[in-house]
Amino acid sequence: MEAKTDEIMEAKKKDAYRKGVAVIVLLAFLTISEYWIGAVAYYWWAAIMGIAILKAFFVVRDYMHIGRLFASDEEL
Amino acid sequence: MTTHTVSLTDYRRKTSINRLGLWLFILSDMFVFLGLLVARFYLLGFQSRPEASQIVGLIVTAVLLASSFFMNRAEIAAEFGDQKAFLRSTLITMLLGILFLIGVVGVEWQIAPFGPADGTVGSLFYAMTGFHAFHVLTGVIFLFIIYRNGRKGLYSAERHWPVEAAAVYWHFVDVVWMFFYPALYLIGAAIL
Repeated sequence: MEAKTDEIMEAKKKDAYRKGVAVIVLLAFLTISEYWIGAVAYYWWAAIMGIAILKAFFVVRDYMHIGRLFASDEEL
Repeated sequence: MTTHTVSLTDYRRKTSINRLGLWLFILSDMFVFLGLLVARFYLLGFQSRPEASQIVGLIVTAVLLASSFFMNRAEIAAEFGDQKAFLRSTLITMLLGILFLIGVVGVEWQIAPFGPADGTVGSLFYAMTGFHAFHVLTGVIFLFIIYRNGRKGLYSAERHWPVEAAAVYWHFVDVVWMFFYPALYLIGAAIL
C-alpha cells in the first residue's frame, strides 16, 4: 500500500517537473518570436504585446498556480 | 514551556487565507507597474523607444526566464519533500536573480547613452528598470530567507507556505518584465 502511494507521488512529481520544462520551452520560443518581430517590424506593437500577454498567461497559470486561489483545501 | 503545534487542517486553512492576501498584494503592486507602462506609451508613443542595448536586454530577459524555471523546480521539490533539490534550485534562482541585477544595473545603466535626468526617455527608462530591479532585489532577499530556513529544515512537504509565497512573488517579478522588456527594448524605433 505504502509502496503504491510512493509510486503515485513519484509520478506526480515527475509530471510537475515535466510541465515546468514544457512551459519554459514555450516561453523561450515566444521570447525569440517577439525579439524577431521587434527586430524586423518594431511597429507591430499589437503582435509583440500579444505575445507578452500569452507569456504572462502561462506563467500565471502554470508557475504561479492561480487556480489554487479557487480550490478548496481538499483539492490542494 | 508548552509547545503549540498547529494541526495540518488549520495550517491549510491559514495558507488559503495567506494565499489570498499575497494575491491582493500582487494586484496592488501591479497597478504601480501598470502606471509606469501607461506612462511609457503615453509619453513616447508606439513609434519610439529608449536606445538601450538589444543584446543586454535579451540576455537579462533569458536570465530572468531561466530563474523562473528554477524557482518552479524549487517549489515542486519543496512540495514533494525533496530537501536537496529544493536548496539547489533556490540557490540557482538566487544567483540568476543577482545576475539579472548585474546585467541591468551594472551593465545596462553604465552603457546607456542617456542618464536618468536626460529628458523623458531617460526618466522613463531608469524609473521602470530601477523600480523593477528593486523588486528583484527584494525577491533575492526573500529567496535567501527561505534558503536559510530550508537549510535549517523548517519546511516539509505538508508545510512550506513561505516557499510558495516566495515563488509566486518571484514569478510576478518575471511577469512584469515580460511587459517591460518589449516596452523598453522592442516596440518603436530607438531614440536618445
